[in-house]
Amino acid sequence: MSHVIIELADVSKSYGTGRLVTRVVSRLNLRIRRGEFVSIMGPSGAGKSTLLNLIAGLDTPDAGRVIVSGIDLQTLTDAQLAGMRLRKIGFVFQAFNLLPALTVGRNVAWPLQFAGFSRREQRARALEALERVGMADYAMRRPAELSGGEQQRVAIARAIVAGPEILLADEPTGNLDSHTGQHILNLLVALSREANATVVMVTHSVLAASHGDRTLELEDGRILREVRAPPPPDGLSTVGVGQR
Amino acid sequence: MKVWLSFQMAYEHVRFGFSRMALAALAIALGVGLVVAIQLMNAAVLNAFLDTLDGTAGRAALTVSAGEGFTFPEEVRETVAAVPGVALAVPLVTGVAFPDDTSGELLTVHGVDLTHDAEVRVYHRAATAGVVDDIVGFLNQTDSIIVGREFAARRGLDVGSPLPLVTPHGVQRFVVRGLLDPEGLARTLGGRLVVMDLYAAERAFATEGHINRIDLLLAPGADLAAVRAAIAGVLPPGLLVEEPVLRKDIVRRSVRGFQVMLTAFGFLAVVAGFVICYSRLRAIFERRAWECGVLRAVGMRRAAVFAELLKESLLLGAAGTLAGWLLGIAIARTALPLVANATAINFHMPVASASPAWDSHAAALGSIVGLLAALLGAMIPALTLSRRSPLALLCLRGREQPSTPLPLLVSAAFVLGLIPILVAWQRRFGSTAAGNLITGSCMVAACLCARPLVSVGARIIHALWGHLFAAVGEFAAGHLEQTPRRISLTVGVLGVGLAAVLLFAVLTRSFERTLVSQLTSRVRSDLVVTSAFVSGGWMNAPLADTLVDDVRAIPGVAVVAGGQYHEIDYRGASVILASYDAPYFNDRRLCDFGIDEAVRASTAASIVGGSGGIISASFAHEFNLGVGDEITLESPRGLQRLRVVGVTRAEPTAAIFIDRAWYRRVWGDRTVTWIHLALSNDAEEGDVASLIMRRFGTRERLQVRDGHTLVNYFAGQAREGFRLVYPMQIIVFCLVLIALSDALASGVLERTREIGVLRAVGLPRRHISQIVVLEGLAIGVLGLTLAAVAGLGLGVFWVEVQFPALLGWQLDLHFPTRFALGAAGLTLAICVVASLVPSVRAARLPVPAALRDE
Repeated sequence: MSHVIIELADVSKSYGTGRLVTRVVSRLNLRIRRGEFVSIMGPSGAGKSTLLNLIAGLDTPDAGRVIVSGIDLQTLTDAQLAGMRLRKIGFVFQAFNLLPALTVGRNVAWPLQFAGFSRREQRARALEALERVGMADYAMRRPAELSGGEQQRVAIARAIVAGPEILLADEPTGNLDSHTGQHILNLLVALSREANATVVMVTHSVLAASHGDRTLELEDGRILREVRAPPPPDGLSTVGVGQR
Repeated sequence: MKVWLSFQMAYEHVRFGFSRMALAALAIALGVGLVVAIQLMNAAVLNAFLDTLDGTAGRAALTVSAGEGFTFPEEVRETVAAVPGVALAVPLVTGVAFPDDTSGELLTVHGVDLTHDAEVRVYHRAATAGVVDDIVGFLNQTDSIIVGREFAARRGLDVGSPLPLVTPHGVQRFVVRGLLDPEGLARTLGGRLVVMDLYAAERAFATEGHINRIDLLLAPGADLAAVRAAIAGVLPPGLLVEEPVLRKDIVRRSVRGFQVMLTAFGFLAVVAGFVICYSRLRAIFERRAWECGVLRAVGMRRAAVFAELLKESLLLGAAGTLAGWLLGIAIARTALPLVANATAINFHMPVASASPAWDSHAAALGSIVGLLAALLGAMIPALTLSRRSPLALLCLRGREQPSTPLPLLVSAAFVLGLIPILVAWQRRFGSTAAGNLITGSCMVAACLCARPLVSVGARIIHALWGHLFAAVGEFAAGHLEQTPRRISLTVGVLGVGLAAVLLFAVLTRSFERTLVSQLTSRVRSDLVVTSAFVSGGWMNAPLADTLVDDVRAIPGVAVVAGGQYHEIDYRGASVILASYDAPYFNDRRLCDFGIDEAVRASTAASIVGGSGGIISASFAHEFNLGVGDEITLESPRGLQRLRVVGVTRAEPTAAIFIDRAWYRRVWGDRTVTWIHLALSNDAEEGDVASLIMRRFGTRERLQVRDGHTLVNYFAGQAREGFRLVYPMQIIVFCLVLIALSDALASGVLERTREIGVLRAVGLPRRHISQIVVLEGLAIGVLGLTLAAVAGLGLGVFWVEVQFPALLGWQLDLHFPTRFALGAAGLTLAICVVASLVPSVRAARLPVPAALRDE
């Protein structure tokens, strides 16, 4: 039980009011172990992204409990939730969401600034994170000068820079071509294994989902099916972080 | 803690998006620039006047006089000098003169006993012997004068050069027999100083044996208050002993109202700048709402997001403030002559040689205003964004934030409800600060009312544009309904800016037309004789009143009345004591005060007898007086009591009209400023005017005008006094232009994909252009509607309440129809100009790229 880092117990979430209420997550129970790579699949509106947002504390459940690292998120204030995201959770978005005003290096470093790291530490850790995703040479560029795949790698560097226990990825390959997408997936797998970080990835792609240790299939806010992946082929396990 | 103080991220955002934020910075810069410029100009003009007072008083601790310009016997000097504690009593004759040419350059005359070096050294470091080679020869020749070296250099004068001067007794020939270095009073006046021996000055500028001032130096250790009290005890009635320092307070008080008015005008530009800043920052922050979502999703707290946005606005405000300082200095350097001239006209003082100097108060005020405008402008959008959930923010990419206009309506209702309370407060207590608060509240209310106006107006314009321009017009009007908040902010900017322009115009027009209508109804004389020179503001130089009798003897002249204006202190305020000869009150060919015909004869009789006076409506309003009330005036002959026998609206200033014979007797003034003439039936105006000029023109340097021309001269002076609002109006139009250009450009940017769809469906480029231009025109129409309501409301308030409270002048309301139509036309033209670039840009958008736009 001590290996469980994310636990959802009887979680429900609805949107809208009156007759227009839509139940997005319905009495969902889920446990994810530390270091596990979990893929979540399902059609649009199945509640995949909502599930991710609930785990990140970006949204609150109508019923049930969301426990992350042993802490019931509902007991935390908004500021405490923000602090938890800053230090324990990394978030990778489909649309990369890099700040256009900042250089690549600053895009990776700024969360550390608000986590209270010194300027020297910020620089060192940001460079280290960029090196891990193979983007250290791009530190002085701006996001607009990068390709989609490069931007996503920078976004991953931002997500891992504070050394989070959990990495949440919302369709990280959704805006990328298949070749680039494959590189990003390899990167996430490698990071999960190297840092023993828990990865929860939402995806529409069966191929992308197959990179996870387990795949959950959601429909109408419930887990329809759970598939455990076979051990990875030898070739995949040798893919290193930062390899393009 | 360190992270709260770090501006790193804010700086990076401002640097990256400065092109989009530049408008907000420019708006702040214009507002700050105007405020700083007005402060610098106000300080420079006031300091110039105060420097002149300082220079005139020299080292004197106390001054004895009979009021501004009045004379008294020089024996008083002996009485005053005998008071214990008085070390030196310096008798003086001061006056003004003009070189006998067309320059109109005003010279200050200082008549002092040049045989007493100690007396001379009160004003000038050098003794007479150091300035004049032959002091005996100088004193023996009554035409000897000393002039400032700068003035002499400008005119190529040297010792021995003749210098004819126009004095109250006509043109007199003087010879320069000494030059004063630029120090003391000579430096203050820019060399425009004439020093002459006391006795010669008495003859040229007063009457023999009469002086108009005694300056006093006290013995070391003497108690100023005790000496002052002792002197007051020995002075004949009507003479006053004052501290020159206190005179500066009087000048400060006098010009304060005028300067407060200018400051209020400057703050109107700040309000317009603030609205633009708010509008721009809101649009920028909204476009970046998703970024705030990212910040929050990654772990930044609400307060940190809020603080980061405010830091950006602070940096922007700092940039705007810095630019505003520079702009303010530039405006002050350019417009200072206008303000100096306007102040001089309003207070009929000589135009001071003012130059703007760096003033830390102005800089501080500008900084506070600029930074506050930026902070307040960012406060609401930053608060709105930081309060939303990260998920909601992440979904806002490329969309306008949903909002309800209800809080706006509540705020508008609150501000509108506050205005009548403030007006009542202002009327009850005459507080000019409350008046400025009302003005600001009206501007805020106008901004708040922009949203409901857009909601209602968009529907009307939709129908109208659809009727006039078919589908293209409907598309254009439809955009107003799609993005009501962005449009209402632009309409708010237009409303506030143009309301300020309309307010200035209403005030200028009302002032000028009030002056013209009041003076036209009063001034009935066929001809008016004055000096060709101006002694200060709109006042012509004084003439000896013997000229009145001379003019009376001219063939064709039926009735003559001399008139003189003098400023006196009444219950702590400066009012005009206007004295005229008897015919002015009892002969309607010269003047009509608008007094009821039934009592006109008895009124005139009371005035001519010296027991009564007419007061102007402004005076009556300021001191709450009416017919039958008694007023007490201080005079060289002691306190004088006067019964109010009439109230006239034929004079805009706070003035008391009295009989000149009585005035001459009590105040001892034998000069006049105007000589009004009515001609006999068979006389021609041109002939009589020519005859006057031939007989006295050369001797006295006169000017003869008909009554109509004189009134037009005053109207011209009024326009001159308000000329400084023109640069303000130009700045406001600039603000309007940039606000509108920005709004339309942002609109095109936001609707890139929609424009792509329209083009893909088959709309030609010109229709796309037309849509943008028509949208600009629609915004212009709505802005003009708001401006008309706010500007008129403010105009009425300023004319009826605030202007009389500030300057004591009662004005009639006049609407500047032609100006308003011209300004409306100009605004619509600006709308078209502002929409040109965005419309061309919209029409040239590549369709595939536009369709892919997020």
